[in-house]
Amino acid sequence: MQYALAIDTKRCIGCNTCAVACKIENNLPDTMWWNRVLTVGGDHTDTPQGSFPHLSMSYITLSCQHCKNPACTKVCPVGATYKDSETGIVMQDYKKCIGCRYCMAACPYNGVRNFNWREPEYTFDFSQGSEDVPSLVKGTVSKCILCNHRVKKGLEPACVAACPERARTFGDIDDPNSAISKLLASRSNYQLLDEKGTNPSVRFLS
Amino acid sequence: MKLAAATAGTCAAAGVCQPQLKALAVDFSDKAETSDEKVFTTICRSNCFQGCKLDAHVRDGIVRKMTPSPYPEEDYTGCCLRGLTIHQRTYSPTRLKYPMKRVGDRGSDQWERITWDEALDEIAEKFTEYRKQYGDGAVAVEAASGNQGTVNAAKGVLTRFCNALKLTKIAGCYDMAYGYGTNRVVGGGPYGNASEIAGVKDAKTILIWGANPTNSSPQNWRFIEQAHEAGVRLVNIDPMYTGTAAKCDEWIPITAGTDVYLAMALVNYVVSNNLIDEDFARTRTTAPFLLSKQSGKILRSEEANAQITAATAKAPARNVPAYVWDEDAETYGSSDTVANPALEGTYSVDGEECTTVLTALKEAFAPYTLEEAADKTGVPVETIKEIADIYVNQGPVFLYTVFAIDHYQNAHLFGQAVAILHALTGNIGVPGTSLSGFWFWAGNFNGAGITTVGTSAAYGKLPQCALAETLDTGMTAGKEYPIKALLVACSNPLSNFAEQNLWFDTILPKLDYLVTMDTEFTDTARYSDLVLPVATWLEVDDVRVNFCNPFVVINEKAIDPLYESKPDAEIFALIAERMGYGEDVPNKDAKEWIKTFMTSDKLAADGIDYDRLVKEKAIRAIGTPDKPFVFSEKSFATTSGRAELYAESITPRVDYGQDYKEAAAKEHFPYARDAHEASAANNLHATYPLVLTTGHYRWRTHTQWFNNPTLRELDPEPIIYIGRDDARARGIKSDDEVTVFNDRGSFTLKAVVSDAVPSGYVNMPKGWQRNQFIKGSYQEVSSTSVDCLAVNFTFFDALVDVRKGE
Repeated sequence: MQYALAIDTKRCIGCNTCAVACKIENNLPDTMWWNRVLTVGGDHTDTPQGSFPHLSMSYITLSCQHCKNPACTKVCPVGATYKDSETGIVMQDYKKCIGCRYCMAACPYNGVRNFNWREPEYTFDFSQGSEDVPSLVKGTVSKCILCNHRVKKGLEPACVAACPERARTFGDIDDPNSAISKLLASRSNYQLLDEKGTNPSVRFLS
Repeated sequence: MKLAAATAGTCAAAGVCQPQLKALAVDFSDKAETSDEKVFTTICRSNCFQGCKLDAHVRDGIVRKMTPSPYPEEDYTGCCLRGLTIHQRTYSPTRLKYPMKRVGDRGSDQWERITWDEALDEIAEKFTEYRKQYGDGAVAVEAASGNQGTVNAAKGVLTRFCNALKLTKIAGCYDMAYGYGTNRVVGGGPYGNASEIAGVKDAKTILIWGANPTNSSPQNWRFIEQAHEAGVRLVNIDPMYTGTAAKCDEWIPITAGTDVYLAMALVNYVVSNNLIDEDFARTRTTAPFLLSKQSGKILRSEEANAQITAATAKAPARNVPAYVWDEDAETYGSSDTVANPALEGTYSVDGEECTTVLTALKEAFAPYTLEEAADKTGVPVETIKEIADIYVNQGPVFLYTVFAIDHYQNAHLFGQAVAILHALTGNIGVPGTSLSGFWFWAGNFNGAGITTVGTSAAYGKLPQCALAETLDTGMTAGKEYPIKALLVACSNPLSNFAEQNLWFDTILPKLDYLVTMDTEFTDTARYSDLVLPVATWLEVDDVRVNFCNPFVVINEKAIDPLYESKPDAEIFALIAERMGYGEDVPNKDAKEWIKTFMTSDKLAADGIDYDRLVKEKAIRAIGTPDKPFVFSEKSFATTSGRAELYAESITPRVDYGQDYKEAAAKEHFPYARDAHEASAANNLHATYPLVLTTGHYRWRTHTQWFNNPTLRELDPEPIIYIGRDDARARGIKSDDEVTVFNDRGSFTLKAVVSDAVPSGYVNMPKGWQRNQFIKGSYQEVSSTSVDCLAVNFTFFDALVDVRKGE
């Protein structure tokens, strides 16, 4: 089994609803984002490439790619980041993590992992989102785990359920009969940095 | 950068796609995860008008998260990033918690906490004194669209309060010019010109003209994209390249503020080439009506004219027939009996020379050539012909325009012209058509049960754009009109009225007393004398009749009001009680008001009532899932019941004594004219060569969510987009501090160089408060100059220049 995301770049409007859903559901501290929206175009958010009026612009979202062949798990000296054998989700165990950040260096995708240099700081004095998410720990690495706490209950990750454009599809890409497998079979799609050989489970429908 | 590499990789890898015809089902269930989590149904009451139903998840008495709550029809389910952060507004660190009285100078941010009794006593005493000394209307109330509930909203108990005390309720000048123009043709008032968004599936072309729904209306966009995937063509006309332009099959850049030239030329092209839908024109428009050359009046029987004379605002004349030329009988006859009326020609009716309306229209539109339109708009002649072809051969056309073109001073003429274009090509009143992307509907709810109090409505008609002048002169329409106090609720006028410096130069100095009810220290609250803390959407019971979707939705109270905040309705009742109007404005449980609102004979006939709302949470109250509401499918809400190509009677949207007669005489048919200020033909253009547009972005709705902690992490400070050539000419690079200025004011913020912006423009996401800028505010440079008939703020009709640094 390999849980995966298919992100339809034709439908994605860069609205950031998925990013905010992730942040709140997982009670992420101030300034931390596990899922971000990037403009494919100019140098800044919402700017296109080309020169007026010959322009193009689209959006992708970037979070842990839950690679089939992850670089991060191989370099973790303590098994804190590991591939869950049942779901294929690349997990992160704060209890085991020693804060060496080898995983961050090995991961080819920039900014999908976060290191807690300090005690996590929160604007609000109560926990937001689900009460099932583990608290973040100073000196450890965290990232998207596909809302494992929801997936265990048969729910979709928060980013998928919140997407107003139905641009995100979640499911098992090892099951050829799953909705995501059928979708991928019917549409051209690509992986980010596929040349790195990590075989990401996040696919972008183009 | 790895990130850049990842991004570059995606571009290179992009391939060809096959359209996917069916939306994937999404599981929105987000069940309470533990036995002590309670879920309340609520509704986002934002004035983006997307009407998103939400679930508020409460643990230990605290709202922990918001999630999209399923509508009975899945296509309508969804929310955006703002909806997900509504609870953060309730728990905002900067929330207004207690009644606060100003102790320093206005705007100095020096406050003293006082009790509710002290605050209410002070208000009651001052309001009573002003009313006694200067008249009831000396107390004015400014309420806008900032709270789209029913009980605790501008249209709720607030209006009852104004009616009971006969206060001046300031007339809105936001977003009404376009609809004022379409109203001349298709009726429906300033907002009644649209079909349900689900109807886009029945269109062949969706023409997105001056709107950016991917950014400002993501729930509407979901329907547009679904239609697109099913083969509906998307065409976008916009001066700038936007997220919407990027998704459309075709993007047609246009010179801002010239849309009326394009619409006029399209009408002329269609009529002069005999491309109109003749059957539609004959039966559903006034094209065959006979128009007197001498009087400029439509010719009717005495009986029909009497019907019009007897009409009142409450009982307007409808479906009144007029004379047409009977081609078979070769004489005139009534439009309701003649089977074969002439569409064109000059005739004589009892000696009075007349033509058909269509013949007169052809003559009026004849000067508007494609060449002139191309010259004015920058849209090539061939492209204009392609747009005409869309109207003639690729309908139904669903026109998705909202309020961008509305923000120029010729907007009502555009509305009138484009409505005529739709009428002549049969692209109105049938499935798949609309004249707007924003669908406002009223339904059969008993709003009057909340607002009517047995006394007359507030006196006078004072529009927002004339507030400063009226305060300055103490006069309106040649009569004394003293305003001493202003009460602001559901609104942030200092931020959102045009020409902000009028507040500092005139309005504030002339106002004795300014009270603001809000949840945050907005610009207006900051400059007030007294600020009252209002309960947020999660802390009250209410109900929302959605716009842009067909549901009425309950707003269940998820938690009690925090700190000392109170619901709007309760505050009005408490003030009224102290002023001796407690019986007129009772302090009722919100649920009682909701019951009143949900009770009418027509609702009962449709099986809709309060109990059903409580049980089902959301009820479709218009249209059906299979047959979405279509605007004016049966008849138009006009005197003739038809689309009126000739506007017989022109009256201003708000009559506050302005001189409008000369202008009105020119507008029986629309005509094209340049934008008032934002035009290359304007001499001021040499001094201020850039048009400033202030667009809606995903980060805020008007000024709401302005200091939301999560959204500010993504969008921390004001920025302005400037095109590459204009930036280079001024030595500006991205992230430089720049100052935007004209004779009315200035503001300083960060620049972002963007190729989306053509030369001659700057564009900034709106909604920031003054203290979020490095200096000033974008609203300093906009103008209160309005068209004398449309009486509407023209926010984009402003020229500026930009310099590097402060």
